[in-house]
This record gives sequence, structure tokens and C-alpha cells, in this order.
Amino acid sequence: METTPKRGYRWLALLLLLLVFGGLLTYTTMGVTFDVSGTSKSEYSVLQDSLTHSVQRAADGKLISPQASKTKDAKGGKADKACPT
Amino acid sequence: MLEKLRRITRTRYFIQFVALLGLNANFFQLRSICVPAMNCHSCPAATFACPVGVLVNFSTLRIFPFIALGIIGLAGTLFGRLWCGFVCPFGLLQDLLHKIPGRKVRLPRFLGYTKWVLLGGLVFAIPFVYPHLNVSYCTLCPVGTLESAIPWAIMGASSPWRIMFMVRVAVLLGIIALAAVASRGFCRVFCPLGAMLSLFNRFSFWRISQENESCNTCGQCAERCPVEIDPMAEMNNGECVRCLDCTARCLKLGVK
Repeated sequence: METTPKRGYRWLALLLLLLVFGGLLTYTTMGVTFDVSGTSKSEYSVLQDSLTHSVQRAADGKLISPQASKTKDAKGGKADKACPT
Repeated sequence: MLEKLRRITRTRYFIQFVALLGLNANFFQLRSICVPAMNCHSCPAATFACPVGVLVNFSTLRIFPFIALGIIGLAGTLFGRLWCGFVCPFGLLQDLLHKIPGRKVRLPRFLGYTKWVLLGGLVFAIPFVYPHLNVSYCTLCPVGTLESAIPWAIMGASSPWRIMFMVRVAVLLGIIALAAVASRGFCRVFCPLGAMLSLFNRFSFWRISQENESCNTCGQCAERCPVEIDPMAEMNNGECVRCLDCTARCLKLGVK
């Protein structure tokens, strides 16, 4: 038969998991920002930009926007076009 | 019993079709959030971001994916792999492909570890360590090929006469062939999102439970199971995609 965790532990684990993952979302919504080419951007914005490669990591480790930067190893990335894979 | 099975199957297909349309309703453009289902955000019609694609991108950028992990974790904690059974469009495609008559095979269970290797290697490690290599799960993902690479090639945005494109199409054809002979082959062997959601199956709020102990070991539930587990012996196993077919076959299983 099934080996499920005991009922009390399961509810405790569920509560803990909800707090952890809900906390991650709340935390990023409330205040996580990234510096992209000198502009402060929320994670939601970085996520959307990353889909079109409109944000990249430069050789010095900083996040850059290829449109805003003239860094020579940065390429691609048009914000209004989806990545053609 | 048969009527209940038909009802569950019809309901599941209906929800899967609605999810397919919802996930590909371009006019909403909610790509700053992701939904726990394999649906490529590079698809011209995609509404949401793909969580696996987001994890790959964030590994490449070397930043912590709060949103993707938060959404996958919350989705898993609430429903486990119900997303695989009821929402994922690629799951729907595999369900339909498996209806094609012909020889069917059972997959060895150890193949299920492959998705963990893919998750660790091609989603996290390689994009993180070698971000400029452009080698990641997304470069071979059959969902991306079907929903993005092929449509973009048809629309002329990218050339189909590239080695990488041909490799991708070959992988897609392999997965399609696998789905036709082995039920939910991709979900069980190659899906990194399924691997992550499987961690929550045993704990999740919504799960399958046995309403009483009077199982007569008829084996009907195991015979029907699309991921080839024995629901009575391994209820809420990580591989279970919660299609609920077993609950229709056996009146002793109940959803709780």
C-alpha cells in the first residue's frame, strides 16, 4: 500500500511549501530589481526581455540590454519580436 | 463504470483543448509570467512564458528565477502533476497520438531518470556554466520545434536549411513516434517540468486517495494507467499525471 507521510506532517509540509513558494513570488513582486544597462528593472520585466534575448550577461558579469549597449560581444534582441528559435 | 470513464475522458479532453487555446491566445500577451505546462513562449501565438525556457534563460543570465520557481512550486504544492494530465498541450498531443492503432510498448522504468539528467544538465548546469555555448534544453525541445521553430520557418523568419533545425525536427519526429507506441513517452522520459512537478505529487493538496480498503486486486487500474504504474500500490507516485482514468475503472479509488 501507499507510503504517504503522516497526516499532520503532510499538512505541515504543505503549509511550509506554500509559504516558501508564495514567499518567493511575493518577494519578487514587492522588491526584486535588477540593474540592466543602468536601468532598474523588475524580475517580471527581465523575464519578458529574456524571452527575446533583449537582456544578456556581459563579460564583466553585468546585465546589459543589447539595444542600449554598444558592447561588442552583445548581439540580437529586438524587444518587439519573439525569438525565432 | 464505462460511463464514468467516458465522462472523465471527455472532461479531460475538453479542459486540455481549452488550455491549448488559452495558452495560445496571443492577444493577451502575459509573457512576464509562466504557466506550469510545456508551451513554448517563442510560439507566435503563445500567451504565457514556458517555465523551462525561463529557467534556462535565467541560468544563462545567472540570476535566481524567483517567478518561475515560485509558480512551479505553488502549482506543484496545490495540484502535483495534474497540470500534466489536464493542462499541458503536449500531453494532449501525446494522448491523441497514442490512440493511433498499432504496436504498443512498455517503457522500462529506469528511463524515467533521464528527465532528471536533462533538468540538471540542460536546464541548469550547462546554460549556467557555459552561457555562450547556446546549448540548452530549448535548443532541442520538441515542443519548441513544433510550436516555434517550424511556424517561424514557415513564416520565413528563420531558414529551415540549417543543421540545427533538421536535428530539432528529427528529435520531434522521434518523440512523436515514441508517443504513438508508448503512452506519454515524452512526459515520462524527457520532460524536465514533469520531473519538477513530480516532487510534489506525494504531498500536494489535491491528490488521489483510496476511499476504502476493500481492493480485490483486479488490476484494472494498472491496466488502464497511461504511465504504467500500479495506482493501488503506488498511489500518488511521482510519475502519475493524474489523468483519473484509474478512478473511473475502480469505484474504490476516490479523489480527495
